[in-house]
Amino acid sequence: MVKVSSHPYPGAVEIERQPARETTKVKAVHDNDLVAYIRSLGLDPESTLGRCKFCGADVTLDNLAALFPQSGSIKFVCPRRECLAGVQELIREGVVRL
Amino acid sequence: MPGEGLLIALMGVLGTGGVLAFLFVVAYLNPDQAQRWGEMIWSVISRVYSGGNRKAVQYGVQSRLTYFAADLAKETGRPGATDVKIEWAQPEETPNHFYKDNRVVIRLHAYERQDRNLMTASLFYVSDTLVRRAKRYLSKRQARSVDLYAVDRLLTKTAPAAADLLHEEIVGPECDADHELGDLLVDYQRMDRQINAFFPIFIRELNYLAQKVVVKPRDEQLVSDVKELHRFLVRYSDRVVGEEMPLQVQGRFLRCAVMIIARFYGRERGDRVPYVRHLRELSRAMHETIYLVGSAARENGEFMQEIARDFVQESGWTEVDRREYPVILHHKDGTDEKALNLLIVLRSNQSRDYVGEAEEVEVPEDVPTLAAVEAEGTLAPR
Repeated sequence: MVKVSSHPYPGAVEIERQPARETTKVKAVHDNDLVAYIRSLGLDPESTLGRCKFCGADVTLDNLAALFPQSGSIKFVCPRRECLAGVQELIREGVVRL
Repeated sequence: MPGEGLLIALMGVLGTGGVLAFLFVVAYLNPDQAQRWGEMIWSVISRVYSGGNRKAVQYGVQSRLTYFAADLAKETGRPGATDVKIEWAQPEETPNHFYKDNRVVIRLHAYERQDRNLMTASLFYVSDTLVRRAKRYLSKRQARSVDLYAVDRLLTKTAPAAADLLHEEIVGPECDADHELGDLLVDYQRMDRQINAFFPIFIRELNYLAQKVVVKPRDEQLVSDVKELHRFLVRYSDRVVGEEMPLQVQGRFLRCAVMIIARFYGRERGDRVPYVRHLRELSRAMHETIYLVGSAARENGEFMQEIARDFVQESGWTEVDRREYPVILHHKDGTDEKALNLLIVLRSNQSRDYVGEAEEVEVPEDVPTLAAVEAEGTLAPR
């Protein structure tokens, strides 16, 4: 933005610096990369990945909604509303971050 | 295409390079819109190139979340909006990096299931960014309701099909299981639609609360103060024009007031003194935010601005926001009227900090309402 100011040099125009835009990053994995990503974490994408952290149901590639690290292991989340709400609560409490 | 003519005219005047530069500037100033264009372009490309699918998903999610961030900043008077960027997890990420990074990885489906992507990403994003610190002071139900309402608002405005999915899979079943949560959401909708107060007042006050409170999270008094703010805004949403009601939240931690300026007689005389005197009393009683509210019509709007200017000059308070917004006015005869209001937000420069337990915080004295001031005969009713 250009602002005319009471600059010591008559007629000078001062450029008002805009603060750099901040960015919030959201980490995600796309379906196209999911198999490779799961393999890179040392898991077998063909079988059950583990149990849902919140409801205990088996999580496979078909019903994986999110994953995060906690206490040295990988936690999986299925897409049930109670389980998504569980992740949201951990985020609110600052236990995990986006 | 409606913009086609304009584009051709611009190309005629500016040339192709000029148009590209113009589009670049527009895109820089409206990042959410630019990303929507990106989403559309990549969704077409994805039909012939599979890598385009990932880009379409990315731009689609980013555009909605960036729009929400900008809207939130505007409505709550925050200085700058934050852009949102999807950071793809690397397919070769090592377990060590995954643990060290310590972040949630959201699974985003192919573009054909973009509604689900938008719903999941919005739920997590809002939990992380919307008054996160303040939500730790609220009851779990209060915190959950704030998140759900905000996500609903985000998706309803930017992706109606994703909003439908949210209602069907999350909000509906959750409200069926917890009626009190449902009641909170109905209240937020009422304060949002009728007086536009959910983000500009409720969320703003939670932001202020988060910036200063140092007592233990979920303290009963804090929860109670937020409930009082909520009750106040619901009562205010239902206010009938001309009805006298308390317009202050006088909690232990949360003290704010609304001052309605719609007095024909006082305005006609140009008499700002009683209003400024009342503002002075609110300030003395340690209110930290005062919301001046009234018709945005020229005469009333100018009168409000003069009152705000007088008070700011003598008190050292700051005008932190000024905006026009649509409201629904309820009349005594039962009819409703759509109107345009002006909101001026004044903030004290001496906000209190709290250290220690809630019981140790002294409750300041109450202030007589503006109605009581009027009863003294200083102001004539409308």
